[in-house]
Amino acid sequence: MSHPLDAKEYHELLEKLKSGKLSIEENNRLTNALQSTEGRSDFFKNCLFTSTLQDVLSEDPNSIDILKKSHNTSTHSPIISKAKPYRSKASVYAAFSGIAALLLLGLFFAFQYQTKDSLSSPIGFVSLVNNNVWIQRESLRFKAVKGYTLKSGDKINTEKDAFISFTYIDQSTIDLGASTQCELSKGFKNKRVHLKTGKLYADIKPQINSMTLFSNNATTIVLGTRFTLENLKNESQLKLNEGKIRFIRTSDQFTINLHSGQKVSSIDLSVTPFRDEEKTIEATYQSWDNDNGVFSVINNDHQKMVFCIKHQQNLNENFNQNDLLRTSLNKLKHGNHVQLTYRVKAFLELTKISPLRSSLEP
Amino acid sequence: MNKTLQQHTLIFLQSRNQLLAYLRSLSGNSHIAEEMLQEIWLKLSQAIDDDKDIKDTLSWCRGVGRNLIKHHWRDKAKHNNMPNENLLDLVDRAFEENQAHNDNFSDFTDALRICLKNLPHKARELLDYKYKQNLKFEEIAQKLNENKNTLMMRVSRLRTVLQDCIQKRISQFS
Repeated sequence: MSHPLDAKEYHELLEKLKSGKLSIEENNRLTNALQSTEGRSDFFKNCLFTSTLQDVLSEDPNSIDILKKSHNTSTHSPIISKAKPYRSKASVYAAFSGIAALLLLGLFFAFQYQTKDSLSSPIGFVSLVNNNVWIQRESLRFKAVKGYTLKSGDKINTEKDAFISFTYIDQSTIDLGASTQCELSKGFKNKRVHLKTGKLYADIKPQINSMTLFSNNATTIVLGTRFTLENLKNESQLKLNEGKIRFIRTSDQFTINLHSGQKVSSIDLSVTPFRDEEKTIEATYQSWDNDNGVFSVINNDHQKMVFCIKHQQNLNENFNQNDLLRTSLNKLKHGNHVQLTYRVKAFLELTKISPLRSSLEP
Repeated sequence: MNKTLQQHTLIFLQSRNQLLAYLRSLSGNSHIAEEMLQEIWLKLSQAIDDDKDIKDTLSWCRGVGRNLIKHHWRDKAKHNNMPNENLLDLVDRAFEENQAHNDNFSDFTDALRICLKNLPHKARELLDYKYKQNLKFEEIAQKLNENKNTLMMRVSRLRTVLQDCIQKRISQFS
């Protein structure tokens, strides 16, 4: 460092600055150190490093385990190293009343926290929902409805035959398939999603700060791309439709950079080609919920299939196509035979639909 | 959300790490800094609603942050000394001059995650106490039954080890 402070002194001054304990003389010394461009650059890097360290340590659930483990094994812990003392009845009562007081205090803080949380800013909103999808926010649990705002810390749970799509402020979208559980990032941080069970499809707009997705066996880091992430039994599988992705296996931190059209499994980290294929089927049209963009058909095996058209927020190239799809669906009647083309993502997304000639005949 | 607010929010989110670093460097408390960050966004959305012309979102947000920090210090004035305006100006300048530093921030964070995983248990425990639980060196020294200065030195060395590790990892990524 070119400023006239050694690293230790500099570190000490920064610590004092944070805690508001700078004396007038120390204030002047730090001011002098920041007079040079290099001094300011060092200061900036120092602050950014510390802040990032705080973020990364807070996001990592393993660090909590480490601390818990250390409390159990540490020889420094005075509680563990002491012999078990004799406890009189009075001390037991005192301990119980102490615990009760702590519980009351805990309840008080929980209430305070909840009040603050209600003021926290939304990070996105529900853009599409089908059947029962539940949102857990702190101690509250409610059913998701279209247009509902989502906040960091929300846990989303889709039931069997249900799905949901939500849109972030920057228009990035995440679709969750049936029987899926995921949690949005805690705190006011950039996009961070924990996929606990099931499958998600993400369309992420270019990001400056990477988005992180935690699945059971891997961590996925993206900057702007389209992909499907699925938690299978003892395996996390990722299919990349577009862009680049960094895939990190949780067990050994082995990292793979994936390119568009590739898929990878956390079991053997083998990268194989993947094609974003469309499927075409013939079916009987049942019903259409224009508001939710969801419709159902009965396929040739007499099974009900639910499809959806995602509402586009931007005037991009898909807008007109989706508008056309909606118009086509509005013209259909119950029982019409149709040919439809779709993509399998977190749920089935329609790309093309046309009535078959037989359904037009009287 | 209207288009203008959406654009400003995007810049706000993209610069989140810098704003948070700024607030943390002056408040010293991670939770207070996070709350201030939310407060800044609320003020930003209010300003857009009031049709205020904000040319440089990041500078504007830092300005609001500076005022919030001052309020915070005033509340704690009985115990603490407030840094002078000259020092605050220089801190602002440090962030303003380096705000283009966001380019490979995601690589930096990824590398840090990996480097932290490779640290020995005791080192990780110390960092958790210091940066996750926000404990003072005196408190950590009491918990670990060690000398405060030794711990300060150890944290300083760990920071250097991590920074070296990050550089190596980033060169591997590229």
